[in-house]
Amino acid sequence: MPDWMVHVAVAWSLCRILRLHYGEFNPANTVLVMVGSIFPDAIKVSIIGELLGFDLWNYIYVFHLPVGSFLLAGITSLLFQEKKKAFLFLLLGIVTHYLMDLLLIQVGYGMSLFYPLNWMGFTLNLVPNDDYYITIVALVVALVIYLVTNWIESRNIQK
Amino acid sequence: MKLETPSKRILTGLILVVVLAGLCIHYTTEYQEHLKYPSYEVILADYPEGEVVNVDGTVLGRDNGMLVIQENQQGQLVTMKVESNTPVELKDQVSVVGVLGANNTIINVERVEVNENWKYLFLLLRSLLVLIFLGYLFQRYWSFDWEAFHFRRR
Repeated sequence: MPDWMVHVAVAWSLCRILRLHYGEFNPANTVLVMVGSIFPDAIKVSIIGELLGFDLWNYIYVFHLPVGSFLLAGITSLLFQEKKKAFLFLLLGIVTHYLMDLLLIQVGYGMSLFYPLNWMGFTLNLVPNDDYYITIVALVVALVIYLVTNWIESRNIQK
Repeated sequence: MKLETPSKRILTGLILVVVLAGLCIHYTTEYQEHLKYPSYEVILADYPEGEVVNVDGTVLGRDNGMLVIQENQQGQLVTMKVESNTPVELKDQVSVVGVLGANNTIINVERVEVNENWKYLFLLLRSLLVLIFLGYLFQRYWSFDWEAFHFRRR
């Protein structure tokens, strides 16, 4: 996985750009997209299992497939006042997660994005799992987006 | 269906949890059939010697020039020896594609991918920091209404 810094930075950057045109991407909903962007990595609970001597990875691997992540988002959105909205913002975060994970080098197969309909694995095999250059790039891009969108917003206010 | 009452939401949540659990069971029982190369489950059950397999594991060291890796496969520790000169450190994670030889060896290695241990720990640390930051941000913009049993915007 790219680390959560990458996932969250990408989700935030996307929301920051969309906020220029759509008021719905306010800070509260942006936080939901950011939370959604790490939802598929709920599978990392397996790391704790591993420390305790249990191999849970394959049992909960569905969490790291779109269908499982969408179900998790559905379950979580039940805990929000505006459930549909919460679900959609979490969903957007989840989609950004898979787009980033597609970049990863996968020796075996890749992610079965269309499971359970199709098991075909997808990967672009571009970035190693433990790469940190992608983190630096994501943070720099987020900073640039912050500065540019701030400048655009202040210019719009002056008009 | 309107999901305003807690009981309806609990029922819907339970249905979604059951569907998710069903998918988890389906995936666990079926995924081996759909892997590009067989892995530990098949190796332990049938030992398909001479076939190309894909195994992962933690580096334990070298033995007679062969890379020794170990993996916890459903509670069973499996040790493999890999014919590879790829530079690795202790505790690095490797994923190997190669031909399964006799006595848990991987020969004619086609591909080795190494994830260095320190980079992995650094990745976990970065992710932990983000989790804490995200928790802070979430509680800043959302609060839980115990009476209505849902989050609402602050």
